[in-house]
Amino acid sequence: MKSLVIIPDLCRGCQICVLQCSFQHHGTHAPSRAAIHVIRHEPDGRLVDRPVVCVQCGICLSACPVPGAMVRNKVGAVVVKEEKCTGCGLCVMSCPYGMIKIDPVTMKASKCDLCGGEPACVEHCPFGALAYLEPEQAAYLKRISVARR
Amino acid sequence: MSDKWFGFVGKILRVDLTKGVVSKEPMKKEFAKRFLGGVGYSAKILWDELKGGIDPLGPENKLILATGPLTGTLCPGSGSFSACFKSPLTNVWGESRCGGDWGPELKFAGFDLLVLEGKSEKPVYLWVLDGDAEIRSAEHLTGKSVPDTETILRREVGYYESKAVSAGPAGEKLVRFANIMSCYDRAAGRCGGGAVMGSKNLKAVVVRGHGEIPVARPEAFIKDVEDAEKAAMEYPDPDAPYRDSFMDGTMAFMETIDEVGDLPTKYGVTNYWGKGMEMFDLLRERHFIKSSACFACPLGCGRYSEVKTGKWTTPPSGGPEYETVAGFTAFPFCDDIEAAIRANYLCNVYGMDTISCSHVIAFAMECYDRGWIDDKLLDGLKLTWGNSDAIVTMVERIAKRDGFGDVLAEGVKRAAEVIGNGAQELALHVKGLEMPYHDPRPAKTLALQYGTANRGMCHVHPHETHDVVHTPEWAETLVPYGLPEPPIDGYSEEGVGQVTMVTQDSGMTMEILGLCKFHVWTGLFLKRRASLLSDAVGWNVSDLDLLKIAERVFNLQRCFNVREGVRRKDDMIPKRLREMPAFGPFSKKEAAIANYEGMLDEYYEVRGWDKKTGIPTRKKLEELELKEVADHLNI
Repeated sequence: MKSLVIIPDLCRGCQICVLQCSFQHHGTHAPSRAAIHVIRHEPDGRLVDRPVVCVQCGICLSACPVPGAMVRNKVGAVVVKEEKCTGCGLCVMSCPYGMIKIDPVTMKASKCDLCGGEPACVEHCPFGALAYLEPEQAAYLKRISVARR
Repeated sequence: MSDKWFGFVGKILRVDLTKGVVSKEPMKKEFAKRFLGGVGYSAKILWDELKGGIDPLGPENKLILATGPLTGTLCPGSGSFSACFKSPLTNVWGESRCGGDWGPELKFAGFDLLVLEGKSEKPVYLWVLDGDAEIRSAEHLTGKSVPDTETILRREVGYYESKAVSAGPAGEKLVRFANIMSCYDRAAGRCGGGAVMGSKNLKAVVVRGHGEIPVARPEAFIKDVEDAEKAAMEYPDPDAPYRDSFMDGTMAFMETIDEVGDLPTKYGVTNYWGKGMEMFDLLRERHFIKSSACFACPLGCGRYSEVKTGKWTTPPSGGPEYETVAGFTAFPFCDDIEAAIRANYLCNVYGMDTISCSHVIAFAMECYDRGWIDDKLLDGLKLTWGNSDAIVTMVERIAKRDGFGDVLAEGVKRAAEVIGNGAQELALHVKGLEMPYHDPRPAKTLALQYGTANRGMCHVHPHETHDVVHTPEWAETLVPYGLPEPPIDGYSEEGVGQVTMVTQDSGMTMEILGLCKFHVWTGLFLKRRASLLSDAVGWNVSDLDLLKIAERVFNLQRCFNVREGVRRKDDMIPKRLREMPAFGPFSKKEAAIANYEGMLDEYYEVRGWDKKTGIPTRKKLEELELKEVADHLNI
């Protein structure tokens, strides 16, 4: 099963991934509704340009109090079932990465669904900073991300 | 006509700083169709609402921060906004474009344009959040640098992801070429927008938006985007796309610019230096940290650099870009790239235009060399050619208006009047805007562009440069719109009027769509622009319609200048640039401009302007549906 990973240092902060994410899911340009984020500046102003996206760890899945409102699908993504989600926000609180939020329009939880196995952010990143890879290749890049923390 | 807006978000935020009142008004569809956004819609507002002859630093001036219908969308290069105002540097039409993320953020907050008018009694900043705004005290920010201001405000408003534009200490001191800075080190440079902010006691505008920019035809629009993206990645040859050069930033062009005689050197006495490549290599190998893109840009030409040790130690910061390096190296004849990085950093933290700032310093060097400025005036500073200590010191003095810096902070035209002797004839400016760093002698359309650009001596607003550093493949794309085939020779003085008009109007389309001009070289051609626009806004605009709107805007801005007294004489370019370069490989007869007046005649002819005065004719204005403008000017 593939993972969505970040290749360090290649991101230039253009946020095309963010726009593609909102456009593919909602048909409009709305970064506030996107599931991928780009940190451009640290709080002290240092420019970093780092994309961050859900690692599909499932902490939110365990936190969700509504049976069937969150499920892991066949590509391994933890996805929100909008018809069952109550928008309570426990998943948002539980996520240590800031990767799930209440959508400002639907008022339901919203997160990365890996676009069903063809992530638009990866396809459209002009700098090759994102990849959707098989476990072994993905592991190396995940380890790099951890090693850099 | 439906009230719903697409592409545009449909609202203007107007802030009266005198009364402390914030109001919202709808965009007018009629204006949007006639002028589009950015510098087009703004030209209409400033034409209607300003009176001729006002003091640009008085409360009666207005400052518009404007996005376009494609700003913030997936269209490549959409991270733009333009600042429009009457310029305190030139007293004519002032505009400057800025990249980064602020323009898109304004639209996500629900506004296409922000109109700032009046003058606050005390320092204030504006906080815009999702369709609303409030004026807040900025007394604690007085004298704060650009990055400090932004860092403090991101925390203070409680949204770290908010974006700010601000005036630095130079803007507060009314340095006439102070910038409006954005996203730490992006700049709406040139023309002195920062001084206008300073004159209004407005320190910053912080914006956070959670809204959307819908498009009228999403399926068609995303196809246009994919086509434009592909072009950006592959044009003109997938194995050697132009994008590769832009990926290394504008400094990657310095070698070529130098080698083709496009690099003004030693205050423009010649146009070849021979060290262009060395500057790029040093920057890349020793000081470069990373590249950074503006919003939705697949080129990512921005630099982020530092000087780790030594006299010019500089923390990681944005730039330097080509114009800045040329201005702080070749122009003052100084090969110290580290000093140039330091000078760039200082300009950014004080909030000053690196082009005008480096220009006035090199100008002062030549005046010093000629004995027109003495040591006493400079408090002991030796302004000799190539003296990097003097350059960096002078940058700080200008920002603080300290000593002779106070004279140079007025810009080259006013400084030359103070210095006297032959300084006025020497000063390289048009309409008061200092020359940037491309030499017009081997590219005579650039000479005409310098003469006739509405904001003064400028190489990009609104020109799509048709000169020696750009390629025939690109120029060919404008052949259907009137560029000659085969292209005219760079040294030719025949046919340049036509080429200048076509490239100006085509370049203008980027300004009114809210896009970065670099994308005209990477495949975002007129037909693609028109298609993206049509599918975004939902009304059909062809490539020819788009050019017509651009021509209308260009003429309206010209009429703004006519109202301020601009005539044919103001379209003249400085004597030095009409003469043969003094030395170097391009010091040849054909590099001199023999008949600039003839070039101007041809340009006025194709523009439909009166040759004697340089004023657009009533016939032309009526053809462009600008009858009210002709009436107002009594043409």
